Amino acid sequence: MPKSDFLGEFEQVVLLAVARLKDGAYGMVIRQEIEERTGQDVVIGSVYSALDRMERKGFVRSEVGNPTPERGGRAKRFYQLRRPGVLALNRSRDVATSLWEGLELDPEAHVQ
Amino acid sequence: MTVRQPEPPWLAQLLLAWLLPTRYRDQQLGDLREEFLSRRARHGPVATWKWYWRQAVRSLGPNVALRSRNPDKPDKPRATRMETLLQDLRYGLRTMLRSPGFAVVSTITLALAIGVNTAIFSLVNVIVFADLPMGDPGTVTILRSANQRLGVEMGGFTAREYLAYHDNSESFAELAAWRGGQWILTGDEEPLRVDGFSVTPNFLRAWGIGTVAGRTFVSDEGQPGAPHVAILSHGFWTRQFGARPDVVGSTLRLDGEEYTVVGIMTPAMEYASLAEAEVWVPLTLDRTDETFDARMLFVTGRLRDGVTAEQAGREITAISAGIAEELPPIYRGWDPRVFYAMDSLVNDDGRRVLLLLTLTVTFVLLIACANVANMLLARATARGREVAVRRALGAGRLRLVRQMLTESFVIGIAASAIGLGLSRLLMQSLIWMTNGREAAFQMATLDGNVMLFTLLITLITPLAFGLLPALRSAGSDVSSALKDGTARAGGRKGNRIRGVLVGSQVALALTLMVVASLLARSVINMQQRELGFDPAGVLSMRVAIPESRYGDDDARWQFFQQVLDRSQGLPGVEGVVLSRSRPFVDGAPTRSFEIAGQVVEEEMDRPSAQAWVVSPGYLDLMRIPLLTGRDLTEQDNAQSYEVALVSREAARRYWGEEDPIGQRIKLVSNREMPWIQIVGVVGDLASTDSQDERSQPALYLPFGQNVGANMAVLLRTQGDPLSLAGPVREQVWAIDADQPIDDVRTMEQALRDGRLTSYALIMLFVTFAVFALAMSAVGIYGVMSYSVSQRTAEISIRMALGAKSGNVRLMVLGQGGKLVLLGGAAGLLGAAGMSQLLKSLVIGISALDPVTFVGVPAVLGTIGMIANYLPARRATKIEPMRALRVE
Repeated sequence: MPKSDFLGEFEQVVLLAVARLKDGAYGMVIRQEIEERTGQDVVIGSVYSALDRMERKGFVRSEVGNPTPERGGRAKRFYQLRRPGVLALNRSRDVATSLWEGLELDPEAHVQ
Repeated sequence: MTVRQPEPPWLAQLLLAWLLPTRYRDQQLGDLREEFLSRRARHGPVATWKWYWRQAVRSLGPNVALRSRNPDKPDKPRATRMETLLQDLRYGLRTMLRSPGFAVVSTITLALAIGVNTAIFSLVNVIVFADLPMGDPGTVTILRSANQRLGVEMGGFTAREYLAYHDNSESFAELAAWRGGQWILTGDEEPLRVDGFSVTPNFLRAWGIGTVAGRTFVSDEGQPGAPHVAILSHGFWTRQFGARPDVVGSTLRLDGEEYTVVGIMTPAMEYASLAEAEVWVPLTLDRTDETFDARMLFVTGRLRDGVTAEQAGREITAISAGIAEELPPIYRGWDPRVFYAMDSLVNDDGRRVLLLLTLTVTFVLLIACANVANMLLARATARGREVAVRRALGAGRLRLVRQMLTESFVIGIAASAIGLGLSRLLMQSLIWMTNGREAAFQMATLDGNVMLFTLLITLITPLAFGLLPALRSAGSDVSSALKDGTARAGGRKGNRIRGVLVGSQVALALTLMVVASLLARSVINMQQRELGFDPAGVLSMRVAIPESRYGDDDARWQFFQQVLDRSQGLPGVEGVVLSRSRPFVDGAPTRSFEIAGQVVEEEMDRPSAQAWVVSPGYLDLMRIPLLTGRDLTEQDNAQSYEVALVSREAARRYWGEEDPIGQRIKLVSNREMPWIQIVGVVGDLASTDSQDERSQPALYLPFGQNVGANMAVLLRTQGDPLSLAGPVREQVWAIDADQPIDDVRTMEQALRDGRLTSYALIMLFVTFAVFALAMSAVGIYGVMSYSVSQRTAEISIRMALGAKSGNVRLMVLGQGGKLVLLGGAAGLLGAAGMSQLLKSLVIGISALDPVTFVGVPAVLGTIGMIANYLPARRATKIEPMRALRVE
C-alpha cells in the first residue's frame, strides 16, 4: 500500500461530503455540507485545494456543468467518487475501527 | 425596469481571480457568488459582505497552493524566470546602493504611510471583523428601543415589554433578556465589588454559548424563589480562584447571600463590553416588583430559520402596538427595533470615526505613493540614457518594465517591514495616551488578518507608485533619447504627469488638513466652554451599598449620613456632599414630568429634565450659583413636603416669563408620585449634546426625599484632593467594613479621562495632516527644482537676452502656483464633501466653518509657495554663460 493512499482528516471529510451528496456534489454544496455536519468554518479555497489533490490521486473525478445566471454565468464543476476513493475511505474507517477496538477513553482520567 | 442584482465585493473577487488558476477560477467565483446571493437574503448585506471577504482572504493560502499545482501555461522553463527575477533583484539593489538617498527617502516615506494604514486597519479589524462570541452569529439579533423625543437611539426595554414579546413573538427561536448588575463579594479578604449580568436562563442558549466547566442555567432558575446560582467568567475564575476546578459547586457570598457556583463561562465571552462581566446570575422577572416597568433590560434573540431582522422588527412593532392600550403613560414614544448583532455593536459615531480614519490613512498612502512615483519619474528621466542603451542592445520593453517594477517591490517590501514596526509603535502610544482606557486600542493586535492586509498593501503599493514611471521610461523613444539633450526636452509629457501628481497631493493634503482642523477646533471648543461648575479641588468616589443589607430608605439614609458626618470632620475637608451622578462623568437620567395646571396634548410635548439627586450643600461645593429662591436644606427630608430646584434653562423652557418658584410638578412614573414644589432656580451646566449648545434642563432633588443606594461622595478639599482618599475610605470602613469604595478620582481627572479617546483621535488626525502637508511641500519642491534644472538653457537664454531676474522668478513661481491653485481648488471640494461626514462630530462650529475653510488653504498656500520659491530663486542665480556652455 503506497503511503499517499492514507487520507488526511480534511481529505476524508471532503471525500465523505462528496459521497453524501451523490450526483449533486460541487464546490459550494460540498462546503456547506461540511460546515453543517462539522459545525466548523470551512473556506472554499481549502475545499478546492483538497479536491484538486485527490483528483490527482485518482480518488475523485470532475466534470464541468452548465453555467447558471445566479453564478454570474459561470459553470459548476461536479465531483464524483471513484473506486480508489471508495477504497481509501473504507480503509480509513477500518483502520480507525480496529484501533478503537476494546478501547474506552475517559477524558477525566487524563491530564490536561 | 429590472432590479440590479447585488454583487459580491469586487476587490475580493479581483483578489480571488488574480490568484486562481484558470481551471478553478470560474468554478470558485461562481460558487461564492451563488452562496453570496442566497446568504444575503437570509443574513443581511453587512454580514454577507463580511462572510465573502473572510472566504476570499482565508482562501488565499489554499489558492496559492492550487495555483502552484496548476500553473496556467508553462510557457518558459521555470529556471529562466527565477534567474530573471534574481537578476532584476541584484540589479535593483545595485542601482539603489548607487543612489542611497533616493532609496532611504522613498522607503521611509512609504514606511510611514504603510505603518499608519496597518495601525488603523488593526483597529478596523477588531471593531468590524472581530469574531462575535456567539455560535452562528448571523442569526443573532439585538433589540433596541428608540425614543425620538428623548433623543434615545439605543434604549433598553422593560420587563413587561420583554415578556409580551417573549410570549407572543413567532420570529425568534429564543428571545432572551439581560441587565447589568453589581454585587459585593465578601469572604475572607477585603470586600470586592464584582460586575456582572443577570440573564434570563435561556440567554446562553440563544447565543449558542457553553460553559467550560459545570453547566448553564436551567429555566426553573429564573423563577422567583429559586435557589441562588451563579456562573463565573473565565477571567474572574482564573484571577480570583486560580482556575481551581473545585470552585464549581462551592458557594459565594454576593450582597450577603449565598450563591452556588454551577459553571465557568467560556473565555470567548470576554468580548468588548461583555469582558467586564465577572459573574452571571439568572434574571428573575417578577410582576410584583417595582422595577417591572423600569427600562433597564437588554433584549436579544436568535431568529428562526428563514426569518430576517426586518420581518422580526415588523412583528415586534405589531406586538407593541397591540398592547399599547394597556400600558402606563411612560411607555409612550418608545419604538422597538431589531438589528443584527453583527451590525449593531458599533455605534454610528464610532463607525463614522472609523470610516474617517480609514479614508484619511488611504489619503496618506496615496500621497506617499504620489511622492515616490514623482521621485521615480525624475529618476526615470535621468536614467533615460541607460534605458535607451539597453533597449538598443535588444532588451524587450516588458523586460525593462519588469526590472523597474522589481526595484519598486524591493522598496515596497522594505517599507512594509518598517511600517509594521511603526504601526505597533503607534498603537502603543495610543494606549499610553488613553491610559489604557480604550479597549479597542488594546485589542488591536497583529493577527492574521492584519498581516494579510499589510501583505496586500505591500503587493499593491509598488504597482501604484512604480508602474507609471516604469512604463514611461521603458517607452521612451530610443533614437532621440540617445542624442544628448533631447532626452530632456522629451520630458515634457513626464512633467505634465508629475504636475498632476503634485496637484493631487495638494488636494489630498488640503482635505486632510481641513478634517484635522475641524476636529481639533471642536475639541478645543469642548474644552473651553464654561462647565457651569468648578471641578478644581474636588475629590469624587462612588459608594454603592447593597440593597440586601440596607433594605429600606431609612437604613440607607443612616449609612450615608454617617459617611457625611465622619468625613466632614477630617482635616483638609472644606465640604462633603452626596450626588447620584457626577456632571459630565456619569450623566443624570432624563425624567419626564407634568406641571400643575398645564395640560399637554401630545405625550411628545411633555416637559423633561435631567434629574440630579443631591444632598444639601451641593450647590456651594460645586460652585453652581443659586439665582433665585432658596437652596436645599437638611429640613427637606422624608417628613416634609417634597421640593426641587430647577435650572435656568428648565425655567426658561417650561415657565417662560413666569416665576417657577412655588409652582408644582410631578414626575411621570408607573407609581403614584407626590407633587413637588419648586423652591429655587440655579445656574446651568454646559450642554452635553454636541449638536445643541443650549444646556439640558435640569432638576435638583434632595437626597433626603430621594434616598438611593449608589451615590457619589464629593469632597471639596484644601491641598491635594487625592491625599484625602485614604482617610475617607477608612471612615467608610469604620461604619461598614464590608463596603467597597470605587472610582476614586479627582473631578478634574474624571473629566480628563472622559476626553482621552477624543484627544488620541485628534492627535492621529493632526499627525496625518502634518505628514500630508510635509509630503506635498516636498513634492512641490521636487517638481519645481526639477523643472528649473531642465529649463536651465531656456532661462539662461532669456537672461542673456536681458530678461529681468524678477520676471524669471515670477515665471517659475507662476508655474508652481498653478499647481497649488488647481490642487487647492480640488482639495476644497473634497474637504467640503468630507465635512458632511463629520457633521455629528464637529462641535461649536459649522462643518463648513469659514475660519477653517479660509485659514487652512492659506497655510497650505504659504507653505506651497515657499517650497516653490526656493527653486525659483535658484533659477535667477543661473549664470547664463556657464549654462549655455554646458549645452
